[in-house]
Amino acid sequence: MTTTIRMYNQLNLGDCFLLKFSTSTEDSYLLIDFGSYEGNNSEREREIAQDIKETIGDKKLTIVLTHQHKDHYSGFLHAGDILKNKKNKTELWLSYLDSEISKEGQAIRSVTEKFWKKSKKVKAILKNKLAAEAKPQIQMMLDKKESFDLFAEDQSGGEAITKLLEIADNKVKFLTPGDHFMMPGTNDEIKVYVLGPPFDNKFLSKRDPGKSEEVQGLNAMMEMANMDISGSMMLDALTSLYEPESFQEYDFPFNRQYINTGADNGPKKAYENMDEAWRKIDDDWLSEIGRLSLFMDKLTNNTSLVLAFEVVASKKVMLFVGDAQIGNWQSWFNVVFKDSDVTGEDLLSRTVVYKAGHHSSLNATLKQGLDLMNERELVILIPVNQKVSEKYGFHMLKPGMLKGYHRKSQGRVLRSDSIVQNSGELVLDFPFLDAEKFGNRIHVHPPKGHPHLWIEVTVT
Amino acid sequence: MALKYPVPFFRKLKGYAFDPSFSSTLSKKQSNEVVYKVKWEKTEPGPSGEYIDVIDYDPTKKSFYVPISLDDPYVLADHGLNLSEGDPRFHQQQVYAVIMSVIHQFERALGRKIIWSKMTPATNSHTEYEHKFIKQLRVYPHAMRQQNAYYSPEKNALLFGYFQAASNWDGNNVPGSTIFTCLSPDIVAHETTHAILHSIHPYLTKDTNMDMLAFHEGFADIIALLQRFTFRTVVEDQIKNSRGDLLSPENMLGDLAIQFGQAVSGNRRALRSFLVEKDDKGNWSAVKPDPALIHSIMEPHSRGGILVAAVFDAFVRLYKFRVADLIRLASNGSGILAQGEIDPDLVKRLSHEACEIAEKLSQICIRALDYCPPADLTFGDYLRALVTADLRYNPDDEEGLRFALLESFRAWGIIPEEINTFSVEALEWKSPEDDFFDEVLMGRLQDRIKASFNPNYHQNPDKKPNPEITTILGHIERILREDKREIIFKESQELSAHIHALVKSEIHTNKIETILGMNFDALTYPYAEEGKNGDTTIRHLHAAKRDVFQVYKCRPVFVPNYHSGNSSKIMIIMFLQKVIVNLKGSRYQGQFAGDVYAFRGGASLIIDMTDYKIMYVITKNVNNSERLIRQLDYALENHGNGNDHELLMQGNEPFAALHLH
Repeated sequence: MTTTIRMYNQLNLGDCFLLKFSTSTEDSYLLIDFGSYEGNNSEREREIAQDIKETIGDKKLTIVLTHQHKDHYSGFLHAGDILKNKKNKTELWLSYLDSEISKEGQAIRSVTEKFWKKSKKVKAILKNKLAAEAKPQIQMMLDKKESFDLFAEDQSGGEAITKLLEIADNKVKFLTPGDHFMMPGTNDEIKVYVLGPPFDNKFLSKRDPGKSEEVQGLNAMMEMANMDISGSMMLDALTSLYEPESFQEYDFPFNRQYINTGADNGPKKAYENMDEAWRKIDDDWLSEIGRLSLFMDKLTNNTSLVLAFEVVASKKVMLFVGDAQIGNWQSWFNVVFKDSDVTGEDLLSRTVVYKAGHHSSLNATLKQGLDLMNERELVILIPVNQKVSEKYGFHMLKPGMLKGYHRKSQGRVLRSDSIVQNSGELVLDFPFLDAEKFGNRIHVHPPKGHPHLWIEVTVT
Repeated sequence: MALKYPVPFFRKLKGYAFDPSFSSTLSKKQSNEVVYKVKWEKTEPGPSGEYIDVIDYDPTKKSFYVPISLDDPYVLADHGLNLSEGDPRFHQQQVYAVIMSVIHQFERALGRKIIWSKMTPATNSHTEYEHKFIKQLRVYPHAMRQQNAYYSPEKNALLFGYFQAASNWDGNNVPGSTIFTCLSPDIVAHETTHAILHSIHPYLTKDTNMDMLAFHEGFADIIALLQRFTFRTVVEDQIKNSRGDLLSPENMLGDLAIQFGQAVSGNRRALRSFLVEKDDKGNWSAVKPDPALIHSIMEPHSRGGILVAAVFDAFVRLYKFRVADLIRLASNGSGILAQGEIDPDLVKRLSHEACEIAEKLSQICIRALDYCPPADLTFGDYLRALVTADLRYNPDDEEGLRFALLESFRAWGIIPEEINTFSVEALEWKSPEDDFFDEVLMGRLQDRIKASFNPNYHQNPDKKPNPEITTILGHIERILREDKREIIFKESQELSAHIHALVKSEIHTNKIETILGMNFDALTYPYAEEGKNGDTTIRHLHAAKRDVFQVYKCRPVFVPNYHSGNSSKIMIIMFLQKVIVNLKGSRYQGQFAGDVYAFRGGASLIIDMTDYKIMYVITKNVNNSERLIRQLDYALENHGNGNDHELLMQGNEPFAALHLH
């Protein structure tokens, strides 16, 4: 039994992993995510799709979409037709949240849809009206918001799923934490365990690793509802500033008579005193807009389908977490696999391949989780693109996180965007990609020439 | 000439005792209406007074709300406006009343005026910073549409938000009523405490160890929580309903603590979890102290919750101890009260005890601030400050307040690292006589201090009189006499300048700055690094010579104790130095901007003004390798937490994101 994990280089930020399970009698393939963050990448995506198609031939293919962010699905939109193939049998796996009948899924979809509608209007107002005032703090917030929103803004997740259903000929399986089954086409030599997304919806909104306690007992549904209202309040306020006041705003939050229209206004004079201009609060309230974007982003990331693949004979585990945030990770410790002694903690401790969460962002790897992994064999795969990350100011590839990865895996860290890492800036305990350590387990294609299309690691 | 009326001592203002969103039931509604007694001052519409300026500007509507005129006869006639969620003028009255009450409480404990100020990069070349007087703290009661309220050190302002919360989840998200954070006394007291704490210790907002932000949060919650006991009627009501068992989970804890946790937004829920917990059957019960938590809980609010729990635990111990005799008297010695409502006289006496303990505890907690180091504070340091301050103020501890605090702090695992025994003697800060300090240098510093301040000191035949003594005494006299905060600030700055010059002049002859936790030479910090094979090598970090330092406070303070007859007459001087540590070539390379780290050290110097003898030198040494390495490692671990500042527009606001729900 050999598993080969191929990490494609999109030349952009995004995930695309092709796993090949080879047994003595048959081979089968699993494609986990296929996308790029920036929209203009179809040429490369088609190149990748072509390579996937040629690799698979007429073998069985299973496709997994972890969550509905563009950097995980755009490839299916732009190059999905290449993957369509009547000869092989293709199956699609999605999280239970993507199912029509999932209550949580419905709620998330409804909130998301409303959010984007409002967000669009809010952005238009801010762009048209406030840009003229040229305030760097607002501009910075909007730029940052833009880069967060880009993960999902055009709302093409649904379209991607439609496309995927078409590719899989409607053969779809919705996975729920606690599910475990044999990987089809592997002669019962590989077992799949579903760890996330959390069933208990309070974990869906949990994101920041520092704030570990506070979300306990918080109802994510309620939180979503509150975010929805908050979004409306912001939109109402912004709209009324530039357009005739709406009905909702007329007497909100106080009856109209309390607005001071008189000339004799001491507080106004104090507020507008130029010497004290540094104390004004004209724009601080707009931060709520940024916070809403952040909330939506973490919500979608936390819906990531998390799969652990166990090599039945050797008990080794390969862990694919999508962009799961801390709340998702924490829920794994409570997952119960029916008629099985296996636990989330157990799977983590046997992990020898870890697909780094959210392109190595800090809030997407739980320290206790990483600590548990098998450090003698662990290989960490980071799908990332430094240029894109830096361009948009994402906090990926942070020295602290990278060092943690390197220390834990004793330097066995692979990145999708580069073969050799320039560690001049960073003093690493272990040099990057030490050929001796990997031996013949690593393959790069094309072996020479730049840039590479994929990098592959073998697990036996 | 018509005979004038005497100036009243208090202005009475009606207000909520707790968040109005919790007063929906009739019985609660009644006890929620209280009268705040605020020290009388003349106010302009706003209200705008000596300390605060309430500016009710709502940027989300680009509108000003009509300001309340507290001196209007109709307002004066009936203790201010009636309670109203729908009239912004009442909101202004409410924030004014709560903030002024909190300020007054601090001033009583500290024996001096609270002064707002701001440190900005200097415009001239002589100094690095300019320390400016700020007359009023700004208060914006309706600053944003967000479930958030925070103190902005950047603007010297308190910002309160309002929001609507979903009443249920049904897909349509019908909002419930609007909730105004400025109407919650808990939130207002909490934020005001941040502002006051920052005015006293401007460097305690730096996130240099796991206790710093937690202390700010915890301390603000302690003050807000104890503030609730200033209303006798509220406490009496609680006692009546709980039949004297003020601290039974269903009442005191169940009501007050649960509510408190809810009122202050989601993030602060943590507080509640350290006071009460729900068991499997859904019943609330008091949390048992757990000394292990302090080692595992790092998030600032949760960690601050441990501090709150420790103080609250002391409150519980004291109350139980103090009312035991009353309960025995009222129960014919059995200690078990008869069925039915308890005697109204007993209610009065019990609530008297509860309020008095709360009052004394809050005063002890506040007084400790003067005995804290200027930077890098830990909970352990705060406990030592608490013990030291109380020893000075109340040496015999007849009522056992100090004892109860020690007991509960220990139960919650708050134990300073550097002490061997958990006793009052060990916890008190070291005095200059202790072997800990270099005798010669300490003698030299003591000599300089006496020569600077003590007019009689020059009578010593070997010493020349200090030529500036008259000027210095003039500053001290004005600080103690003046009522105008601006003058006090200026005079205190003048004194600081003298002290600064004094230390600076000694640089080349002596090294007395080392006694004060500073060092003006080039510094080397050795540290051990573990290699791959478990072997350790000693490596070094370096900081270039830097003799720039601040004396950001020098203030004489008299705190009279009418109970003991002892007055504490002290002078507090705060020193702070920043050195720039070079991280190139170390394991920290590539992790901090410019590969440098600004490391601060210094001291709070407490001097007995009766003879200008140095009482305590409370230091955080700039030469301490261990402390530096701990700070660097802490910074690394917490690197990512500030990631979303641009998005939340809070690059310069340490409290804004922290308070977000």
